[in-house]
Amino acid sequence: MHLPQLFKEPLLHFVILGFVLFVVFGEPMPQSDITKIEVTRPALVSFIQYKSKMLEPEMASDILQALSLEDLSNLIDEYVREEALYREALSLGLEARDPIIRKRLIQKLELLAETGPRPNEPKTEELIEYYQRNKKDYAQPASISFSHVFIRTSDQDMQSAQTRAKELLHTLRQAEAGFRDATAYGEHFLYHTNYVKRTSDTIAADFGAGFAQALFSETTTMSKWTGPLTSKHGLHLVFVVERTPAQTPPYKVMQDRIRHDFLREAQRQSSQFFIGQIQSKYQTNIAPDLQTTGSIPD
Amino acid sequence: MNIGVKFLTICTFSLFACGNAQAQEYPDQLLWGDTHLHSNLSVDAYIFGNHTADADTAYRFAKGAPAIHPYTRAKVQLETPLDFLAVTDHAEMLGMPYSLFEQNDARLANSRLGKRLVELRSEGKVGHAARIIVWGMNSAGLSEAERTQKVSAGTKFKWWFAKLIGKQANVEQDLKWISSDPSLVDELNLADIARSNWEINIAAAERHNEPGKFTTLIGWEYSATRDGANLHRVVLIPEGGNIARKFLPFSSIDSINPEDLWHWLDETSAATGAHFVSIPHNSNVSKGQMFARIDSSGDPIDAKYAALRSRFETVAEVTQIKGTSETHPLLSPDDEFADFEFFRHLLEMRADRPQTPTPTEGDYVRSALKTGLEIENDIGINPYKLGMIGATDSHTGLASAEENNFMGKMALDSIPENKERGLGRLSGWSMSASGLSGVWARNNSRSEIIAAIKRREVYGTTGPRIALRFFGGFAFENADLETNNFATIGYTKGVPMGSDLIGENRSIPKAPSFLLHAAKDPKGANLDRIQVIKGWLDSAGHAQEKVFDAVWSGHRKFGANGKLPAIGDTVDRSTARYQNTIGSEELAGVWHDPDFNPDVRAFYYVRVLQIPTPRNSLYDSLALNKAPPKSYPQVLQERAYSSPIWYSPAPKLTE
Repeated sequence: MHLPQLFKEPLLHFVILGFVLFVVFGEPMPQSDITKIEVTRPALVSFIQYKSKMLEPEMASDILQALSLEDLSNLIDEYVREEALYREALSLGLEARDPIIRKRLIQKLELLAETGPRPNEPKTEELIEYYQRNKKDYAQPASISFSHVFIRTSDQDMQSAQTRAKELLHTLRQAEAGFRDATAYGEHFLYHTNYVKRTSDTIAADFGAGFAQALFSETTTMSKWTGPLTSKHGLHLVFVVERTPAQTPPYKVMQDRIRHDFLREAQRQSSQFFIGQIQSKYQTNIAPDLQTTGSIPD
Repeated sequence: MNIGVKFLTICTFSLFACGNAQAQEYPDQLLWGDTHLHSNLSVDAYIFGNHTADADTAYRFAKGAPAIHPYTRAKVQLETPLDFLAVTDHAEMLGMPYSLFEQNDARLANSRLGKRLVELRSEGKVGHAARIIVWGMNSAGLSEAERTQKVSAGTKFKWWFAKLIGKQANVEQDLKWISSDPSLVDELNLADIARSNWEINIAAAERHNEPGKFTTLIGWEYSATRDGANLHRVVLIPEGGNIARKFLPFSSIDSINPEDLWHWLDETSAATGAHFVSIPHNSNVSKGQMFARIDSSGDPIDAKYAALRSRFETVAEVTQIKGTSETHPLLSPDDEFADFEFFRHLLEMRADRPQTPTPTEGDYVRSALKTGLEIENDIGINPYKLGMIGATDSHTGLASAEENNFMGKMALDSIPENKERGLGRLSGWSMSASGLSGVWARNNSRSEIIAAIKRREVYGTTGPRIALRFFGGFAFENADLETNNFATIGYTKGVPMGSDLIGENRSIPKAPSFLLHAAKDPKGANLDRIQVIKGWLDSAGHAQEKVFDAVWSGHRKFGANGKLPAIGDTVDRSTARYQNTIGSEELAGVWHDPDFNPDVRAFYYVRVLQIPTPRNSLYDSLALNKAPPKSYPQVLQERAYSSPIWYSPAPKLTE
């Protein structure tokens, strides 16, 4: 069996998990010996493993071998102190309902799930299929270029503002004013007069979402003064010179990112599978008053 | 006569008749302020000696009141008060040393790293503690691979064991210890401590905000340092405490990727009504990552990324105490003024890594503006449409940007002797007193200042309050310089700095013209010249740059080398005093691009140079009665950088 395949074995996950648990919690303890701390070479080796978060017992064993007598005595003192406190804490049931211990244990399993096997290199067909399925993630936003003439509504009622907007619209058309002439008309606007290649989000930030929607949904009028459109600031006559519709770049252009996303997704799925397998070992009973599926009484 | 020309002529003669305009409210107030200042709640500020200058001190000082310097304990005061200030402490472990050392918070004191800091402080090992803290802030940017590889299990055990038997770790060991275990920093980054310290800054801002007189902006610094690369951002809101209390500052411990910051800003904005701006700074030490062509996952920037980023990042901090981020001599070899306040130190705590930045196009704002044109050509949206501002980034709580009244980057390096000695490898003289932001606004208020930043009608200076107007349009002419309604002409016939111009197929003239005006700092030095810096795409789609001298003082003529002679130098090297006997108080002109091509994208921004004045290192060495340090210039030409105006060719007719 090749090594990569070996890593796909769920069994191996549990073997690794078992080892991690072993390193963290030391050797299994017979219940009867709970008050008896045996200081043995294996116990100290796993203590060193635990302290240094290393997996190879040989290295820990070497370290133990190399300790001077004084250091060894210090190590034993510390081991005994920790072991006693740890056992006492367990026997008092201090680990129960402790949110940090609970979180830590869950994290450990999640980490194991996430660092599972590395997915195989995807084939081009798989990537294309993935791209087709997730096309919306690769869509690029629409953009627009326009200038506008602003009519303030903070110091006049809407009706007279509308009237003034109509007059101004007439004047602009009569004068055959273009994009660049907008600054000579209307009132000073808080943000820009000219907007070049801006997306809906930016327009919404400066004018409000309603204005942005109206501006982007109307797609026919180009290079002609139209309006007024209403924003959170007032009325606007707009002169649109360019619209770039939303588009999705072809697979070829995006293939590096698609591969990246595909692998990430594969990793996520394998981690979910691992967690699902764990969950499937448990039977769940939900109290009747908490049922969320099935028929809901009116 | 062409209709366009006829229309413009009529407009020139009767501006108001054209628009039937009502009384206008153009942004005619120039406000000065600092958008980036640290108080004693920033972990590094505290550990480098600022124990006392809090947000309250910072605002009082900025308003013009005397204050106590946190290190020297001397009374200090600003020559000219500011109009606005943002206290922007690091979000990472916000206020931790303050809560640990001043409030003796038990959870911090009992944490593993907290214990170590208390230990080091009691032994007087401030430099050691400082490196731990800065590394703690930066360690969120370490790759997982490095975390595990750097410290072998055996080493880890040895440290633990050494500690067990009472042996002290050295700095390198401590840094590796922090790298090996992210939970060490997590124990110090407690939400409720951040909450109460965030509240201190909010409350101070609320107390000192006086619309019309002095504006306080609430904000913080997101200090992502990915693998030693500075990706820091100042985040500001125009809203008050009622909104700011609804969230906790997003930090690099939350995520090291700026994209996550912007997504958080987007979501938090929708949830709380805050209108964030995010301002990148010190791109000069970003290892090429600040204005890269790829995102954090290594994918090329796409339109979605560009739209999200440019929504929040409308300006960049182009100058501050840690040097200029405009450009570098290696990137702009033909720019004779590019060799200016180049900061030579990466924020790299690891001794075995390069400590000096290698300038690349991702590090500087001018090259970012050029990269932006190229990316826009490819994907349709420009991620780097950046205006320019200046700020101090002082950690003393004192926003001082004057060379002769410089109060230090850190509290510790505020005195000449400490600057000479340096903080570790970093000499205090490797930095200079900079910068400030000029903001064109209709009044002095939070919403007006943030709106000006969003529309980029702002500019940066290295300290002097040089008044700068910059308009672009298609109808400016020399007669406009003679009028007394400069702003009205500028806003009516064109657009201000930070805006867009676009070509039109039917109109003439096709070439834009630019209206320039600069006036000296009323209390400062005269002006040398106004330059226009142009960037554009050549026929192969590669961005190019060129610096033009547009208006200059005196009767200087271009030499045979095509360069304008230097202005001269009146600085007396034995007293650090200069005379305003050269240069002009005011420079103005209409500038036309001699190489204009209507079919290519371009940007134009303005740089104003002062006559040479003494640098802080000259003042200090004279005060110390020593020869000036050889590695630093004795004088400098302070400057102002406008936000650009962009030109796009006429859209292709597709219908």
